[in-house]
Amino acid sequence: METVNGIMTDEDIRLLKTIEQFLYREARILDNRDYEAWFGMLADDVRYVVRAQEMRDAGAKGVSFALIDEQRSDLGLRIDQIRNPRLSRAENPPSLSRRMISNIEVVGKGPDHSVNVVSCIMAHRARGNVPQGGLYVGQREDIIRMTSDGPRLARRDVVLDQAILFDGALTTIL
Amino acid sequence: MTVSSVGGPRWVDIARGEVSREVFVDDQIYRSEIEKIFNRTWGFLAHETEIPAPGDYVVRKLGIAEIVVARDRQGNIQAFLNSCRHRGAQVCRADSGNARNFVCPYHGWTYDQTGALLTTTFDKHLPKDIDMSALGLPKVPRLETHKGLIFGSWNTEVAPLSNYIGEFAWYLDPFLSRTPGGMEVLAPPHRWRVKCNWKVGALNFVGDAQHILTTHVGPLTLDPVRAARAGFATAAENSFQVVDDAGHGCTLTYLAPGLPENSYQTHPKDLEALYRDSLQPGQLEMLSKLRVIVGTIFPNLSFIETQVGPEEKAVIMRQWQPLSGTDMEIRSWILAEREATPEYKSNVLRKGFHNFGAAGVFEQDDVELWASATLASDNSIAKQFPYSFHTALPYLDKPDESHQGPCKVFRPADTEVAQLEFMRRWGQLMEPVA
Repeated sequence: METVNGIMTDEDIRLLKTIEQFLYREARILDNRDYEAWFGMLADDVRYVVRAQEMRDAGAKGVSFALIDEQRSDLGLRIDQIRNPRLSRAENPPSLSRRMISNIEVVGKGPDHSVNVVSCIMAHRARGNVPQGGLYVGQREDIIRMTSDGPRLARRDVVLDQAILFDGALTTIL
Repeated sequence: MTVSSVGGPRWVDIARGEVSREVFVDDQIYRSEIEKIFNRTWGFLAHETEIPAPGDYVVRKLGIAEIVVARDRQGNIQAFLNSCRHRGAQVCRADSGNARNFVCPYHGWTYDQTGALLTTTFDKHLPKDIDMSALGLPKVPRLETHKGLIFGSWNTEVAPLSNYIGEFAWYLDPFLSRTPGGMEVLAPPHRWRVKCNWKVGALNFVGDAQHILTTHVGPLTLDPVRAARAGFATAAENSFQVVDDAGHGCTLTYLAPGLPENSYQTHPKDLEALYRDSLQPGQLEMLSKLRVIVGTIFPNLSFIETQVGPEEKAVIMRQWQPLSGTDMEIRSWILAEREATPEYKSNVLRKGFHNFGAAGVFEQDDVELWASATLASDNSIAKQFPYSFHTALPYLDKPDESHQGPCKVFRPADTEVAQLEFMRRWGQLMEPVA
């Protein structure tokens, strides 16, 4: 966020608070598996990307590669599967998941009243009766569009701090 | 259990159509498999297009030994142990990259792209008569390629790769090499770990048509492209399992009766035109009518081609890397014809991993149930009850003559013939008959 002498304006603070509350609310909604409410927080042209990264030598160009790269239609199929007990084996019984969102910064503003936001996510996925769960840690780069109906997620790009998923296939929305 | 004629008394009982659960959970059997199968036969290392330029390398495993697969200055492919001859440190600790030389970070022993030792950095203190050429990184002694796939073997006596793949190549090649340019890997492989034995994946791909409608009820119900779910159920009658004596096998799912022939012909027309120059007429016919092919090259490389979008078919390769009796790591690559447009490749990649990647809508339900079976089988009570492959038995000795192409072919596709034959081969290697 551009500031004069590093001091945020009241308007900047209001925007940051709005974004923070949006991301916390989203995390709670996903933790509660209220996927319908989550879909309501997405822009119609949303793009949802999750990447892993190969381990490369220092100085070499980093390589991240997409595990998921979906727009609303494919994302909708993914969600319809895990939300429907008849249609999912991986999420029936459902995983218990918890998302910690932190280090939220507004880093820029774009067209259509959109805001560029970076944050950190640490998400834990537990199967209640299995000792070890899945831990997903990474950085999010979001584009959040401010509309008359409230903020809407237009783009999410999560880069995980790992090359390998250690807890089977990924069914946790990050 | 009774003694069977093939595969020994303990684990694989062909006559009864049963396989011991030990085979899918036991750590000692896992260690024995590494010696008797993985260190003796051919293992898949990488696709040539993963290391296109001189100096490019990827780190992989052959058996459970970590190796570097590199392209040298002359453009030749090299593979050697990723462990310094001096005191064992990994010379590559990255997953992939490009290197002029491989310098051990521990004491500085330096190797070229062929694994040959260039200097220890303390050469002046070495005995005068030492043979530096004997101190290179241990080479994978046998290294051969088939249609872009790089295979290696620790066994110097192993039969040539072309013999190993043998007649099964007739089924394989239409997915590995069907245009003059061949296939290309589109991105680094997805990697994920699953708490199950590697053979569960290999069996699932060699011929497990019975799991499709139950395990994958989600994507089959939801995806409009797969709306003809009933068609899938009836397609088995018109579909085939292929079994090769080396343990390879695949399932060919053709169109369900009554569906128009072009229902699943989703290869782009401009690419299809190129297939005619690279494939035999019989292979072309198979490719034009095939809905899905899924198969396994013994022991642990699998492949599938299936429709992933209205206009896209994706070729996916899978490797089931054993980590213990009850753990494996999956690597999954997506391929397309080199001649395809960038837009087509990008669509195949995205839609391919939507279905079959580390977060794939098919994948997620498979691995959940594979881990569940492993969890429930790994105890002395459960191990008293062998796994059932009984639906193979009525068909085992009755190959079908109606499908063109080599190897033994069976119909219908929804029996367990290919899976039991895979286990027969596994048993032959693990428990040779005295």
